[in-house]
Amino acid sequence: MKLTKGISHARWQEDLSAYVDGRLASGRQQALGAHLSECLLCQRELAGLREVVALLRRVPQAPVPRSFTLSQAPARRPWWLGAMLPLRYATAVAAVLLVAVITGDLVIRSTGTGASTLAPAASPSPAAAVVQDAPEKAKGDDNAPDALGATDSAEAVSGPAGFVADLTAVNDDATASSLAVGTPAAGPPGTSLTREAAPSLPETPAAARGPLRWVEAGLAVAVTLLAAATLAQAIARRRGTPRG
Amino acid sequence: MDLEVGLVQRSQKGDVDAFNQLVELYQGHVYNLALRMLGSESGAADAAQETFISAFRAIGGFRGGNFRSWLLRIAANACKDMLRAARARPTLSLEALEPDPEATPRSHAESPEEHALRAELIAQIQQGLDALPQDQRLALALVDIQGFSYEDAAGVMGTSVGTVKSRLSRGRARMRDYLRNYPELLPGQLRLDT
Ligand SMILES: [Zn+2]
Repeated sequence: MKLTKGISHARWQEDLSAYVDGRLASGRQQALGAHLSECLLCQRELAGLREVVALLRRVPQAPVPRSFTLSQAPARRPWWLGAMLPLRYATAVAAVLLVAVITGDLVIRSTGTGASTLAPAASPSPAAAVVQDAPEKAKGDDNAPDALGATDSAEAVSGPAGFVADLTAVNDDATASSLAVGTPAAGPPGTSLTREAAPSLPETPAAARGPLRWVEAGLAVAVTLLAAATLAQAIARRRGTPRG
Repeated sequence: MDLEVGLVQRSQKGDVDAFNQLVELYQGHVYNLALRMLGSESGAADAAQETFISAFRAIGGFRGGNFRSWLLRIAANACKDMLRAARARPTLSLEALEPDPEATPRSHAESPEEHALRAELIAQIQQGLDALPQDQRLALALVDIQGFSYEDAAGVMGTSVGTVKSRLSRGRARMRDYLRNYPELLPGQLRLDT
């Protein structure tokens, strides 16, 4: 036996392990066998691997320290529990989007409207001034649609009242969001949202802010619901205790 | 096998007694896989318990095939979760498996000295396993220690036979390098077979 030189042994290294188990394709098994017959290095490698495998096969099965049978049925996985991880991601994404939208919204306001944004809900007149001074920025403000869409609002008030009324009257989006967060169970906001949003949109250029506000409100509701669902999952997961 | 299929079907309807028969059938596999993955007896017991709770909850989604592979896949994931948690919070770290002759069954043929040496050897092997990347450790635990075929191991690991082969190859080579540091423990010195 001589040590073969000039041949890359690396290409055989991967095969040696499968060779131990007889799991190489027959062509390779034969080629490696032929190489082994004249390569001391690979023979040593093979012997080392065989020793390792023999050692590992001798590791005995340990007896179980106790029985792992269940004393009662753990709470079965509700259909949504399988969505645990996706739900967490969805919550995170919605929360980030919400922050981004609110931030962008605040930036737009603070760069253009100055003092009027500091006292947003005080009266409609500052908003009117804003419309005159900086019409472009005013697209981002929605006091105007509130005034113009008053009839719609009035109609809406008779329905799921406080929710829509507050949303349309309040100028601060952060406040609007928190209102929306607090109210999801108060009624069917979805219907009143579309009802309120739709007619005011085409009537005024300032209504361009409308969609942004609804996006924020929608995101806030989504974040709340997703977070609640995630919490519910976490609680449900803890149920189902094993026998000690 | 027909018995197992029946037990699985009853378990899927919420029958805990049927499920517990499956537990008793496979808890040795699950516990020992966890023991080699975690290197800790208490950690392995926790992982095994977690595995069966998860399995009972998820069994409605089991669509036939190899139940043992399905179960051990849950066990392997439970071990990975525990290792990740232990790494993230060192205070929770799993205590290392000490050479414990009590935990190593003594065969009739061995003397007390041989038995102690074997316990020492198992502890050294475990240290070598602990030093491997998780995927390689899992491959060695399944194929070399538990005697799984490449195909069954691939089923547990959720990968291809080719990947099992290469993980085995790298893991065994690393183990060989590791055990070279302990020539006194190599099988030729043990003479267990006499
Ligand atoms: Zn060679």
